[in-house]
Amino acid sequence: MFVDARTLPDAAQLRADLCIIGAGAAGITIAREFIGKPLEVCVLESGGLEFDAETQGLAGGRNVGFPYYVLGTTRLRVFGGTTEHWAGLSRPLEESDFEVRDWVRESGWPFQRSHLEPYYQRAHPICQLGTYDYRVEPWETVRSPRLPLGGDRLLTSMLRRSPPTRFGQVYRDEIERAGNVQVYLRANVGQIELTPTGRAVDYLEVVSFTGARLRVRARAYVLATGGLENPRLLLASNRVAPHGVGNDHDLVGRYFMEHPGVLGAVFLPTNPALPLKLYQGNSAVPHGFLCPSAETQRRERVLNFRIFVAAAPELEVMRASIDGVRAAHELIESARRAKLDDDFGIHVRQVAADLEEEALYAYKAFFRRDERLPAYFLPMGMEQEPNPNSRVMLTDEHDSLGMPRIALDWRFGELEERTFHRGVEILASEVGRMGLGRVKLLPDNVIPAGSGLHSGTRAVGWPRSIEGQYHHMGTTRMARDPKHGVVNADCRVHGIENLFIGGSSVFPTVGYTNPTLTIVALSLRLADHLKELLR
Amino acid sequence: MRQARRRFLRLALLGAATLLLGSSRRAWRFEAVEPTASPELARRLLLSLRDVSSAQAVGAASLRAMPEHADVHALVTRLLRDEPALSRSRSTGATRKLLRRCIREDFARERVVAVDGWLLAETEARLCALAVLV
Repeated sequence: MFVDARTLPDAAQLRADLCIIGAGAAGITIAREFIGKPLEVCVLESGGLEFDAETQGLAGGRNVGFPYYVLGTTRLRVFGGTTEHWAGLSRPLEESDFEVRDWVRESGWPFQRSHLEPYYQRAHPICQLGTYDYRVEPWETVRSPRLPLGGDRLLTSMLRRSPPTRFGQVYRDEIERAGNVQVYLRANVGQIELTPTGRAVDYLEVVSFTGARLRVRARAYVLATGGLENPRLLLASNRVAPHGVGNDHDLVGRYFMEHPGVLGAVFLPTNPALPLKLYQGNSAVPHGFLCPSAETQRRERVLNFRIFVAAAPELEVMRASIDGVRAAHELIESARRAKLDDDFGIHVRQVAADLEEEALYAYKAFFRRDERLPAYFLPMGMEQEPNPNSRVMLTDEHDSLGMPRIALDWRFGELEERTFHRGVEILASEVGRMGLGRVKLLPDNVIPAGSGLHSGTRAVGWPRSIEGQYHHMGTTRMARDPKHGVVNADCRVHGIENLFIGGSSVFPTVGYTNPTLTIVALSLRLADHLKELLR
Repeated sequence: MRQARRRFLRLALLGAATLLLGSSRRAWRFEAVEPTASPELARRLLLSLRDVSSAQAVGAASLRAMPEHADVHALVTRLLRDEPALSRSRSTGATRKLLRRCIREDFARERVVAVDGWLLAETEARLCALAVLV
């Protein structure tokens, strides 16, 4: 059932067994798990069933680190949350993403990928992703083979594509019909009030644009408002704990991670007819890409990353879908920078084709000097190293309901820079070694050796095309030891017995893959835990 | 005493033989490489490229990136050091095959040079530089 919180009288008190703050992928997944169970579930959602500007305005904030999107546009305050602009690309994290890697600080999850495997399988139909199968073989044919790179330095892997699932639309009826799940819309949690001992949540204070203040009490609470809003609410809830809820070790809001994406290089096949269909995914078929093996990551001491091999139209579709609100001129600018049909590129391919016997037939058959070169963009998305100085903080500014606004200080550094360069170099070496073609770093990315990246500035040499993917992760990270994480392996806030966190803010490391499937898998796992706890 | 003298003689003979063989091998290597590192061989290597104008364009950029490579003798010597058989190759096809092997080996060993942003094999860049210089 849906209730507009604005219709409730001031000082109304609500009670439930479980209270979920936020109705996005995590919140809706957890709520659905309790449908028909003998437990009362209350979901508090800031937005309504439709987008409205006044509520969305609560999400604004400032960027004080590496240039980032306008914060008010990067997550959505509406029933369904940010899945309303999800692109749908999905894949579980890799086994190596869960491991401790001595070259990646603060790496390692409290459990291995195998532990999450059954939850990934359950998450798959929820995200409308079809068969749980990420092997390359079912999609590989004679006409669409994987790139014959050989060895284990770079592997072909597959992403699956959700329609994408708009959780607020797909699961709306089911939630509405559920007798034991009450969704309060336009209900903005302003404070997590702890008991005097600070060991448990006493109640939530909810405010609405009417000025009414409500209280919600539950046996357990799940905070599931995303990687920017979760730390915001914890830090702002400081009446009992002066530094914020769960922040005894000054970790809340730290370790903010994105998936830095770089449109950094292009690939010019020696043979214009080189089949790359496997890598040109569309809405109907999975999408191939290249990534380093775990051994390559270890040997090279780099982060995990993925490289798409995208024809220009596919790239523009991809970028448009990922960056739904990006200004069109940025797309045009990217395309301009990536333009390759220059004389020098023709000469490079001519030389390469001259020396590659296998390409000669194709060269003669297809290539003319006046022909536009078939080039492929190599957009790279990479893991970001956990960095305590990359963080979400509160500012002195307040939104229209009196909540402090956030400042995002997004930082990354040498390991990301090295990962980008080594990734391109390894790919260039592999395609050259196999006689497949040549790789060019785009002009922005011809980087002087030793250039560094520092917070708040765009260092000389880092590509202008670097950007995030609207993935906000790590700000309430998971760790067994409260000195290293905000939540424990059960996603419970260390030191608070009835407060749990759902969503990508608990990811200790983030791999390269889009987070929604892992968010849903972790939410199912948390729901199972809560079912046991509240039984 | 006699045994020690015999041992000394054996070691002396072995040492002399090693020196002789070593110097003759060095001489052979010198003979094989040095006289052939010439503009004539460079011209022969360039026959493996069908479009010399493209090679010259890439070569000009290579030389801007690596001005120290503007030396035909040094370039050919380096190419022969990586693939001595180039000096004995008598057909364009065979030369191309050897160069291709060198280029792929360069990429395998990440002997790569950035030329106007293009990540090229060192052999490829040297060959193109020769196209400018010869």
